[in-house]
Amino acid sequence: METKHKVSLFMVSLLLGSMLTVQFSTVHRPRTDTNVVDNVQLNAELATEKDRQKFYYSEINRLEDQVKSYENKQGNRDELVKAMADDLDKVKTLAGVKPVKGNGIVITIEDSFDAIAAGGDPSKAASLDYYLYQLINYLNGNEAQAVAVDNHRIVSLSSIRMISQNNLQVNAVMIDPKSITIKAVGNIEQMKIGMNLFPQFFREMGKDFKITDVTNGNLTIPAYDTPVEFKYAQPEGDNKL
Amino acid sequence: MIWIPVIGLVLGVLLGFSFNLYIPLQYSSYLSIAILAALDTVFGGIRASLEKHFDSSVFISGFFFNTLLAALLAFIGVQLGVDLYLAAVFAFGVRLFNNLASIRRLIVNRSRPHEKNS
Repeated sequence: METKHKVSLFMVSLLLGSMLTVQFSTVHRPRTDTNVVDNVQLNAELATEKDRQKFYYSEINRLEDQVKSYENKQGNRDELVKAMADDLDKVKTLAGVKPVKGNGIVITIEDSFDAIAAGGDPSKAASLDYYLYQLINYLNGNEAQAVAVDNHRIVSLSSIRMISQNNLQVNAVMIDPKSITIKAVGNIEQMKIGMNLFPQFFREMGKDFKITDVTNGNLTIPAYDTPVEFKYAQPEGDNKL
Repeated sequence: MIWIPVIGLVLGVLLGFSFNLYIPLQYSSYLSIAILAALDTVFGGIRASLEKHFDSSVFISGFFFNTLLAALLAFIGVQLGVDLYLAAVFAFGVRLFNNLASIRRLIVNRSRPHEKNS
């Protein structure tokens, strides 16, 4: 057999061997992108779940105490009314129809010549409402307890819509998309971690993204003040609202 | 002579492991078909060399053509929603076993005169 033939047979076998190895490595590669999590992550999740469980137990105890107090106050009408008013207050706070204040962050998103000069394209701001929703979603997912966009409280009924390039609607009220202020009361560090991705998104729209910490406890989030008429939904079990 | 592809294969495997290469998982089915075609070509080459009519240009062109055609057939099958790769698996599988059978027969036939002499 000629040397040329031997070389070609050798080279092709070499290539086949490499192909076999690539296939083997691919098929047996650990799927790090989906389900594999390390111990640190598992421990962190476990700690969070333990905290949550502790919170639920304390809530159960609190509610049991509340039921007992109602039972004890049945004879005293004034005390019962006061206890119910306190509860109504708590519910209002949870629903966002009561102003709240505390520590948090203030995010300003403003049109910027520097961002445009760096390649930002203002025409991309057509999807500003989508990114604002994403931003609020990330704030809520990172321990924000109250959020307002240009002093319009964001609650479950809130809407954010880009009507035209110069008109942004929040809770059915027009605001100026050139300068938007978002206030969020919650865990400052955690919320800032959640905001890591967003400066780049807004810079691509030619906007500047700044975060300011408020640590004096005076960051006020106004109440949701848009009247809501419940025409289509009613509490389960009620015949009529 | 049969040791040449074996050494090449072992070296290729070692090379592959030392560079730790991999492809996206969704393309691994195409590579598996291509490997089958390549295996068929290599065994065909061994058989041809044992039968003393090995032609390196036919061998090299066959290797690349069969490998690419098999992967392409699998790809087209996926696009059309038809399991065309089964055709490649069947065709190359049958050829592979034919080649292996021929190689076995050739080696056995060659060993017979030796047995008679000894």
